[in-house]
Amino acid sequence: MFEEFKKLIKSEFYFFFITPAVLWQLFFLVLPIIFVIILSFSVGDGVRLVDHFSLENFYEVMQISHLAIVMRSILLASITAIASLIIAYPVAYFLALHIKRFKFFFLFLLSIPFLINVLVQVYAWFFILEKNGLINHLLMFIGLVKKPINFLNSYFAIYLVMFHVYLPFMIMPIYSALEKIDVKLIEASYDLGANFRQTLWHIILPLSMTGIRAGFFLVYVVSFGEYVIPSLLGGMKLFFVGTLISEYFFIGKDWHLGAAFICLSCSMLFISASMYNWLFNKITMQSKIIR
Amino acid sequence: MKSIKLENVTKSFGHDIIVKNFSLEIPSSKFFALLGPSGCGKTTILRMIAGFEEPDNGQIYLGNTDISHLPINQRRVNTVFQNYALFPHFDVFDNIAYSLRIKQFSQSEIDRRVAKMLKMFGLEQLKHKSVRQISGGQQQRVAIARAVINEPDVLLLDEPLAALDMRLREKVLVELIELQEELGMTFIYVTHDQTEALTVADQMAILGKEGKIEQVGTPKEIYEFPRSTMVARFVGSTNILHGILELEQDDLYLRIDEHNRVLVPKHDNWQELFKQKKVYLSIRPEKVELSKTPLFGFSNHVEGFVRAIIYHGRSTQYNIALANGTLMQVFEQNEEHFPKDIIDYDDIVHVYWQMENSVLLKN
Repeated sequence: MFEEFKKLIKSEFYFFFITPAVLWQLFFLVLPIIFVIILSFSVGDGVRLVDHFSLENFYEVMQISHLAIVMRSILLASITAIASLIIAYPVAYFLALHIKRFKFFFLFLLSIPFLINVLVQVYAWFFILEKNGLINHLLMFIGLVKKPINFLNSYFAIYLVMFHVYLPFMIMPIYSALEKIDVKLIEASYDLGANFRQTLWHIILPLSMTGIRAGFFLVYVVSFGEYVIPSLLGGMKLFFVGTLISEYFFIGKDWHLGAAFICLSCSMLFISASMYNWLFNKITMQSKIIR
Repeated sequence: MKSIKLENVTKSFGHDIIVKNFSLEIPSSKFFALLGPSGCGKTTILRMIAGFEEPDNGQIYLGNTDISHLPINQRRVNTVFQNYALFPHFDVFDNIAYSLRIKQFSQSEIDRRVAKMLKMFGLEQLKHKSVRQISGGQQQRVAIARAVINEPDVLLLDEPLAALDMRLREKVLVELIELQEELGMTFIYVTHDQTEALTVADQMAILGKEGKIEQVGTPKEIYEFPRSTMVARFVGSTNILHGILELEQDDLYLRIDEHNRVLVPKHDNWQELFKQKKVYLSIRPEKVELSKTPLFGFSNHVEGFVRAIIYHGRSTQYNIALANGTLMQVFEQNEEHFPKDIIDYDDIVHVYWQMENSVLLKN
C-alpha cells in the first residue's frame, strides 16, 4: 500500500494530488491579487470598471492621514504581537517543559478560543467593559470610582481584546516548537556548566525560534489587517487599515482608491515584516554567540 | 581525580521506589561499570550523581564533599548521554567548546583546548560540520569530547553504545578503555549489556531490583565467582543445578536426584549452606566437557541426551537433557573441520566438569 503510494508520488501523477490546492490558491488568492493590482493602477469611466491605466489613485491615497492610519495599524500589530509573545513564551515554556500532569487539559483550555467565533468573544468583552459592565460594577463596589468609566471606543479596549484574541495563536506554535526540544539537550547544557539564563538564551531560545517566528508573523500579519475588533470596539471613529479598506469598498464605493490603498498598506506590511524577520535573524545569531 | 560515594540513597517517583537504601563506593581513576537489567534504577543512580535528580534520602560524596543537593552546573561531573544530546544548532567545534565558553575562558585557551580534543578524537576534518551531517560514531566522539574537555573528576556514560552498530561497538569499547587510561578520570559506565561491562570495567557492580547491589568486583571475579544465581545468570550464560548438600569423608556432594550427586567445592561458607534445604550450583557452559565415549580425570560426571544443537560458528551450543529433566547448556569450541566424535540429536552423551570450576550458591 505504502510502496504503491511512494511509486505514485514519484510518478508524474503527483500533480493530481496538488491540483486542488493549486487551483484553490489560483482562484482565491492569485487572481484577486492580480485584480486588485489592476484596479489600483487604473481608472474607470462609470460604465466600464477599467477605462485607462494611471497612477492617480496612488497620488490620491498617498496622504499623511492615510500613512498615519497605516502606521497606526503597524503599531497595533507590533504591540499585539510583541505583548502576546512576551506573555505566550513563558506559558508555552511551562506547558511544554515543566507541566506533566493535566497537560492535555491545559491545552484544551487554550484551544477554547479557537472554538468560539471572534464576534462572540468581542461581544463578551462588551459586557465586561461597558458602562454598566463587570469592571465598572467592581470598581464602584470597592469605591475606586464614583462614576462609571467608559472603556469602550478606546485604544485600551482595542488593544486588550486584540491581545486576548490573538494570544492563543502565539502560544500554540511556540508550544509545539518547545515541545520538540529534547529535554536531554537542556540537561546537557546544565551538565556542561550553564545556568538557567545561559541555557535559555543559548539553547532553548534558538531551538524554539521557528515557533517564535511562526507565532509572531501569524499574529502580526493578521492583526495588521484586523477589521472586526477596531470597528466594534473603536466605535468607527478610530481608523485602522482594515476599517479604511472596508470604508473604500463598501461605503465610498471607490474600488480603485481602495485597491491602491491595499497595495500601499500591503507593501508597508511587507517592509515592516521584513524588518522583524531581520531582527529575529539577528537575535538567533546573537544567541549562538556565547558571552 | 575523585571517588564517588553513595550512602543510603533512596529515590522514588510518586509511589514507585526506584532506588532503596543504595550504598556504593566507586574508586577514583577507575573504569567502573554499573550493570543491571532495565528498570533496576541504574540510570536513576547516574542521574543523581550528575545532579539531574535529587535523592530523597542519603548522601552522595564526590571525594569528601557532599554533592547530593549541589546544582548540576556546579558539579565537576560530566555526562555522555545515550543519544549524545548534541546541540543541533551548533557545529562540531561549538559543541565541544560550549562548556569552556560558558566558563568564560579566553579565546586562545578555547582554541587550544578544542584543537587538542579534535586531534585526540580524530575530528579535525569535521570541526565546521553540523552535528546533523556526521555519522553516529562521529557524533559519539563529539559527545565524549564535549564532556571531557571540561576535565571533570568523574565522567558518566549512560549506555553510550546503544545507538551504534555491533562492529563499531567493539572498536569504541577499546577506545574508551584507552581514553580512560589516558585521562585518568573516574569513568562510570551504565549499561544493561554484560559483554560491554565485562570488556571495559576495572570494577563493576551488578544491580538487582530497586537498585539492590547483588555483587561488586572485578569482571573476572563476577564472572568466575558469582555470589548469587541472579548474577550468574545475568552475566554470561550458566547452568544452575540444585539440591541438598551431603558430607561424606570430608567431601561435599550436591544431590541433584535420586541416582546422581556431584562433587562441589568447599567454599568458606559451606557449613552455613549445609543447613539449607536447597542450594544451587553454577557451572559455566564452556567449563563442561562433552563426549560420547567415557573420559577420565574429571571429578564430576552426569549423563544425558542431546536435545538441541545450536551452531554459533566459533562454538556450538549443545542442550543436554539430564535424566531428572534438567537442561544443561554446553559450549564446545569448533576446533576442527572434521571432528572425529560427531555428536548428533538424541545421542546419549557423558557430561564432565571439574568441581573447582563450579560455584556453590545460596540463592
